[in-house]
Amino acid sequence: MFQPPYKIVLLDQVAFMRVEYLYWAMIFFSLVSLVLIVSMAVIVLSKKNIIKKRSIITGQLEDWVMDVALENNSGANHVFLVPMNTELLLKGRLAGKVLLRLLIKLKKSLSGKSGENLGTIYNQLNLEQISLKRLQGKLWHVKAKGIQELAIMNQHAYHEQIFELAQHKDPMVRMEAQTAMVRLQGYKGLQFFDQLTYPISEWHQVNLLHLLANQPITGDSGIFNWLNSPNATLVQFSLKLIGEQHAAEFQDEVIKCLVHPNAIVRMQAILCLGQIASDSAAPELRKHYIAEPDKNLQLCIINEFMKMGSQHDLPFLQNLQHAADADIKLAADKTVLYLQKKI
Amino acid sequence: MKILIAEDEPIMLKTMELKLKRDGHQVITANNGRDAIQLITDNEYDLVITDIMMPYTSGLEILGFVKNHSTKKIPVIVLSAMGQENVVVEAFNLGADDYITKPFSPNELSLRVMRFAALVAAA
Repeated sequence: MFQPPYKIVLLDQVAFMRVEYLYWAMIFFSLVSLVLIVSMAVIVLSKKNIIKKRSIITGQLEDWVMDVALENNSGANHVFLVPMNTELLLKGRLAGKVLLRLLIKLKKSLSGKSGENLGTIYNQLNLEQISLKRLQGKLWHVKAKGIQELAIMNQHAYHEQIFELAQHKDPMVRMEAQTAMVRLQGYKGLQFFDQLTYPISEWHQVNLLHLLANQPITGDSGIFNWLNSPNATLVQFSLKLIGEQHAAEFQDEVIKCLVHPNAIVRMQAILCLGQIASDSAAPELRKHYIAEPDKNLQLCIINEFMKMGSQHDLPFLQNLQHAADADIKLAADKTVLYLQKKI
Repeated sequence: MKILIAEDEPIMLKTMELKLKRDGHQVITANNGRDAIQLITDNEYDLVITDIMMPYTSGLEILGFVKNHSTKKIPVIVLSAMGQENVVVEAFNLGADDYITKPFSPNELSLRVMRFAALVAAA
């Protein structure tokens, strides 16, 4: 008979399933459940308590904050009068945080004299220390909050601390720090691009473009370096920036990007030339069409002629109407029809 | 002037209310679009100021409601955040009379309201 190389030992089931063990297990699990329920109740009650306290403090501070915001007679070095009861209230830790929250909410919506007043009271009460403590916090969302508060309150003095976080390993902290730098310093704040190793997400690119929308781009902003960066997302962002601002003076650099190894960059360069829409942009796109290996980008070029094409582009497009590829043919048909109506 | 302000941020709502009350206007507030529409249905106003982004019913829906009912003569000022330019265009298509981009100065709001007050007084 076959003998296995190991010995099978059967547990004495009767001994293992002793009733006392069951009782002990029941007691143990009941205790664990009790501890869990009590801890949950304590957490919920303390949270409710904080919310209640916060709401009471908010009520006590609101009128004074609104008065500060609507004060019209404050000069450059104005010191706001803090009522005695508010001063006493602000000695508590929670009150400072509640006040900060109110100021930030208002600062996001108010500008002009009111915005200045909110900034003044923020500095007068040293609330930047709360923001700074948050910025130095360990949790990413606390850090991001601190950065955002300092930027909203225009705390230029802390731009170096914020700059250090522009290359942070956490994408949310990084994004917040980069946004803050641009908010505080405009193009000068984009100096973090020089050491950028992480990609810039599409969403963040939109954010940055929005912040720079009213500031015309200049040659000394660093744009030439960014367009030659090994980071494709930085090149893509720079092209978007040039396109949005119709900055024709950078067209030659954009044309160089048409032969970039990354297809996303090439696509952005095509779109950018379409946005610049100068007289020489269309011939460049026609020339590039033949060299472009990606069919989607060829379609993109044809579509761009809808925006910036003229009668000079019609022979090129009419030629494409006879292309073997059905998609190219269709896109060319649409563009020719559109241009013929437009012209 | 009797003004209705619809804004979901309580501190902002109260600040605008205080500013316009100090200017001598009668101000009624709503912290969401649904309440604002109810108030417009039940009462008469000389001016409506509404934020665009609000819970339940947006500012554009309030605008649409005002301009498509017997209340269409009530001027509406739309408050929008920066970067919502396309929404502003939509608001003008719906019949908005003016718009203010956030962040704005309360003094600017006062001046714009005063302009409508002059129109109401002249009518």
